[in-house]
Amino acid sequence: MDDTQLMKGILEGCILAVIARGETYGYEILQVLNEAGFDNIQEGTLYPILSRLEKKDSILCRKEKSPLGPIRKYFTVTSDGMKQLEDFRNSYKIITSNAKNILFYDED
Amino acid sequence: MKIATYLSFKEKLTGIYLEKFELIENYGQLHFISGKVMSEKMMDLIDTFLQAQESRTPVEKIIGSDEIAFCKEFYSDFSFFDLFEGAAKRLLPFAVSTLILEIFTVLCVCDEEKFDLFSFTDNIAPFIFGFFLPCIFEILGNLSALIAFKSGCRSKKVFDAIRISFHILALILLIILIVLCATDKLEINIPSIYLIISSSAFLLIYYSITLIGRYAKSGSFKRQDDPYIHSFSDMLKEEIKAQTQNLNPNIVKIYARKYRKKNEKLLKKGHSRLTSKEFLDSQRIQSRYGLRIGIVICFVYLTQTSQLKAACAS
Repeated sequence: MDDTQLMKGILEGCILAVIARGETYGYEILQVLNEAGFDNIQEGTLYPILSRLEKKDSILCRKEKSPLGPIRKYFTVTSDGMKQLEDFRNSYKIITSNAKNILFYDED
Repeated sequence: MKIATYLSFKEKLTGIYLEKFELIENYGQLHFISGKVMSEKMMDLIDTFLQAQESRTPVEKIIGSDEIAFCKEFYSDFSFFDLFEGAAKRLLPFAVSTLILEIFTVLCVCDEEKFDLFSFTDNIAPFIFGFFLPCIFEILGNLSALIAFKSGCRSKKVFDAIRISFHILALILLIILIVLCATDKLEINIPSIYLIISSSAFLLIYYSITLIGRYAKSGSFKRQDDPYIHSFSDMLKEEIKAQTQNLNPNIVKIYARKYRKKNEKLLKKGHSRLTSKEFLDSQRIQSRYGLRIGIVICFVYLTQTSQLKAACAS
């Protein structure tokens, strides 16, 4: 079964959670997600989500010249973003708990 | 001189990283994504590619195994509004000059006793063919290159060759049409009042949308200059200081040569040398206004010569 839709549903919350840990940038976010086991996340998926979060005022963007030369965007979470993250965490707990009751019914 | 350019950093990419980066760049260009949007997106991506290259992270970790799917996702927030904004900016100098000239002509030539705006007509054939023809051929060239891309071709030289051949065709046709228009063999005459109304409406809509968009984005009607656009003067200073080929060597060498020659001429005439800042400021003004003024002069000459002569004579 294709898990793309499932992935899209939780990715925005996960990216917000990574940014909430501290100011960060695109490549670093990718690395954190890869290390957590999200191997199929690419920048193409990441940047539209970051753009969406910025438009919703969930994150702030600051530009600075990177050590390698190009201008790099650094992201931090706003108070609206923290609230959105908290709501996501609560929804995630409820949904996964309910889904677990159904999906792993036979294992109980 | 400020240039929003990632091109100077693209020189640092090598091998598979450069190949994939150029593929993403070509995809955007073939889908009519250009200008500020393209530059900003590529600037975001080049930093990640440079880091991946330095840490030897496989490029598939950045873009995945399906490059085209990556490109579609990467450019997914580019809207048709961005495309039309770019096109509208090109029309702006024509609209402004048309409005000013038409009003000037009507006021000068108009007979006060028989004031009839519909009696004045303009030949808009040079404008229609001079502006829209190159646009159409540019679009056709791009679409042909896009067909080649979708067939599996990934060579930038092939895309450039296809686009250049369409540009050459457009240029040949344009020369023929200019001769026909200048000798009055090709005319599309419409009342001047229609040009006045359409130019005014265009300018009103364009500036309204621009101001509303600016306010929505930044809370101010004033244009916000991006302080982090990579400064060309920074590039030139770095190149002179480092004496290396790290940055885009061709652009910097050309300007360094122009700077040297300019100062040699000034010294011969007994003037003092320009500082690098003064030189770059003058280059910025020339590049920003020079081409636009040239195009508008050609446009005015082709469309307004007879009216202007009549206006001056009266």
